Amino acid sequence: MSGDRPWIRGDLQIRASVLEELEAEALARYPSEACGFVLGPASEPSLLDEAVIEVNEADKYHALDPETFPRTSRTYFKLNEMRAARRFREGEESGRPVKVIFHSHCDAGAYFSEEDAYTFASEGQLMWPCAFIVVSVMDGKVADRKLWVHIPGTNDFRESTLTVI
Amino acid sequence: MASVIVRIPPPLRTFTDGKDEVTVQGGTVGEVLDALEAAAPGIKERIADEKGVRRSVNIFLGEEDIRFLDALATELKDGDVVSIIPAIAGGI
Repeated sequence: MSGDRPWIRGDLQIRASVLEELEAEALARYPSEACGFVLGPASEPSLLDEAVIEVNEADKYHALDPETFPRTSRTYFKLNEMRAARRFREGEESGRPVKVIFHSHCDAGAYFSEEDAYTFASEGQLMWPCAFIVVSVMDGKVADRKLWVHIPGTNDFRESTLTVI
Repeated sequence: MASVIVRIPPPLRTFTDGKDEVTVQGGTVGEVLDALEAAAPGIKERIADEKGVRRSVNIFLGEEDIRFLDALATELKDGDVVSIIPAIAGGI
């Protein structure tokens, strides 16, 4: 799926102000998980220069169907995928694609969890054409942030370099 | 029976010969999934199991997730657009 979307392979550069926005959102939502997107110009594939904050709908789904969605926003995030699909499409059309899905972990590391991998890869395929930033918040403070990318042909992900500029 | 357009996400287009939309007949979302399976064998298992729509997938009727309607029993009318969209979800 990399094709003309080289950002899915990682080694990305993020503007400091954008990372600060992600981390501020992670702190504001703590002890719930935050989520959203990071965009950038298609003409500069490695550059991340715009954060888009989304609403975590985990509690809404948990209240509706706790068997399928046993977790609350304390340990889970879920955003509106119809709106997301539209944002991905419009980003491609406008030359400012979604390059990263971000979310936070509360009182846990910035690892890519089994639940994350279950959602974002299946049958060796990446489900959304992007990379992933996980922000760790520990005791109400940002402790870490990491960039993750899909390993093609598997359902696994590896850490990649995220440079703050 | 309604004639319904089903939007297929990129990861599932291997089942539909690369098509991003398929038109099938069905009175409910469940019937549409059965019709989709007949047209594209193997696709239904990726979308739903015996309990309903998989946690890793969503089915929208218009702008609404069918989980907040009548799930697979959600009734459809001619011209409805059903979108199958992978989840964006996760956690610790």
